[in-house]
Amino acid sequence: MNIIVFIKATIDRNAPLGPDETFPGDRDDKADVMTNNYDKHAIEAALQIVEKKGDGKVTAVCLGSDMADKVVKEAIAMGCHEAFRIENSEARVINFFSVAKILAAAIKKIGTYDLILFGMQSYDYGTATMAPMVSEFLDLPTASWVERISLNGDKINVEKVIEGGTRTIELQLPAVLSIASSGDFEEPRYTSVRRIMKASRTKVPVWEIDKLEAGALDTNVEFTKIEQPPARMEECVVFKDDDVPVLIDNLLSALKDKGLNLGAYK
Amino acid sequence: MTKLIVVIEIAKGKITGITKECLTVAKKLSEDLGVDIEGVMLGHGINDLAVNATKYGIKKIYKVDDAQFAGINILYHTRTLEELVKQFSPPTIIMAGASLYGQEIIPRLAARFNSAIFASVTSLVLEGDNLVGIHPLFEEKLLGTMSADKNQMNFVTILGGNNPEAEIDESLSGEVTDFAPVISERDKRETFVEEKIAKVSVDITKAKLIIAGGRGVGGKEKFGIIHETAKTLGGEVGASRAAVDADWVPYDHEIGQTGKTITPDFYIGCGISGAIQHLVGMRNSKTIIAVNTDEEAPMLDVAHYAIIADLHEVLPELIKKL
Repeated sequence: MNIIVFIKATIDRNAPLGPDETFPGDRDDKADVMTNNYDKHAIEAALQIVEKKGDGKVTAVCLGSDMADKVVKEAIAMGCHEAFRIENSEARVINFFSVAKILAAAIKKIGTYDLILFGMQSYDYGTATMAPMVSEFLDLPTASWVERISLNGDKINVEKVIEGGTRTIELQLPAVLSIASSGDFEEPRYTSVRRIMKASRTKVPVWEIDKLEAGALDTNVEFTKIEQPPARMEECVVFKDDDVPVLIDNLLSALKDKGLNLGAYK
Repeated sequence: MTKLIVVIEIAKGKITGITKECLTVAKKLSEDLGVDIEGVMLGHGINDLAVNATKYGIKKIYKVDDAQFAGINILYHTRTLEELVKQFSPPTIIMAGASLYGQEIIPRLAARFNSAIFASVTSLVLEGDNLVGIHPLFEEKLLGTMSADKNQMNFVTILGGNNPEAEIDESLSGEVTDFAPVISERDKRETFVEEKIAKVSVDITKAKLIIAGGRGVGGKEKFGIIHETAKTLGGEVGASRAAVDADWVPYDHEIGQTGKTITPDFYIGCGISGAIQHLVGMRNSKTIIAVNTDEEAPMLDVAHYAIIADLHEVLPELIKKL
């Protein structure tokens, strides 16, 4: 069972964010870069499948600048058997349509695979288009928001999120899946300091976009402008660092000051 | 003349709310372009639904009505939509709600036509020779403007919760025409097995007060305090996807992208960190109170008040005081 997991480096949730700097490649400080949270669920799914099957390997692939090496090493620390990065310095290719073509081309170059996994979306651009687009470019079946997986010979049964419930479908392998943040892979494994130290010494192999035969890298729908939405007018009033009864009194009196009564619905 | 086609999604025997939101966007666009809205509907035994859909101002519905479409199969849907779209030359706009279905089908269909998409946009309008849409980035901390030539094939998903649902108008009617399904041998690599949909026992969208629990509640039995608080205060129980997925509470209590959108007078979120998928379903609540041990939780970005403490200490005390 060979599984390819795509991982993305995004700007850290806690790092300051301006419209001019939407790519981790723009950052000077590695602390501003993190693994796209949702991708950790995909890594977790891949590792669980291989562990259960007792054979195979997990290959993590990341399109990004050298700032993304941190993310690749984290995938190795989590337990991925091998990992590499496709060089995308200075955010050369950013439109998701071309990114999907590059990822599909990378899979073709890898050659042998049974499953291709994505997180359910990215924290930054959040278009959730990679799994369906890459599956189409590779002519493979696909399922998004997968919560549970069971292997069945050369087929796979997946239970996926739908509004108000779940749908189970069976797919012929190889297949492309996006993994939900709920379900069997909800809690990605933590990794030990020792594994992180070991992974940090790994040299990350780098592939070149131009050697991947991804085809024309342009797009017919473009991002023309990125801006900040209007600022939120009111800040959250926080009650903390006191006994619970006091915190609640404080909340209730703040509500009362605004003419609000939480007890009005009894 | 531009073809404007809405993919009409059906769930639980009805046209979905997000499709109706998409129809609102389509209606404005159809007026600006001076064209009719057309629709495509795929399923089995859907004639009445198709006729009903014309009352939303859809002039022509392509109906794919076939037993093989009784359960959703993305490969069957993509192939059949491909055959339909192939009949039209650009300019053509194919749009759907950015439901889980829309977010699977539209990117795949677009890629088959070697096209990018307007992905999860809150709006789609005509600006000169371009179509322009807004796509939120970084969980809505930034807004991206997407733009494309209006004279090409354009594929669009409309993000839920940003437009009113189109209303039915009994005086309207349109044509329903059968379109034959197309399924290739390769499409049989996907097989529909089953769907589990919650029986609806409660409609949390009508409640004035919601006490919602998430992963932080810590277990099915511990979820009892959420029920007890809701009962005592006269509210309904809400939940995050994590809590319904863990079977702590039934699916019909779920709030968010894959659950309900609520706008109660009071929303109290307990042990819910506030993933964007949950926030989109409750952030328009009038007063939002977060009960959480983590002051950094994203829930505090939308909350009006927050108590930073253990919900299992806070809720019993709150019951006592009210």
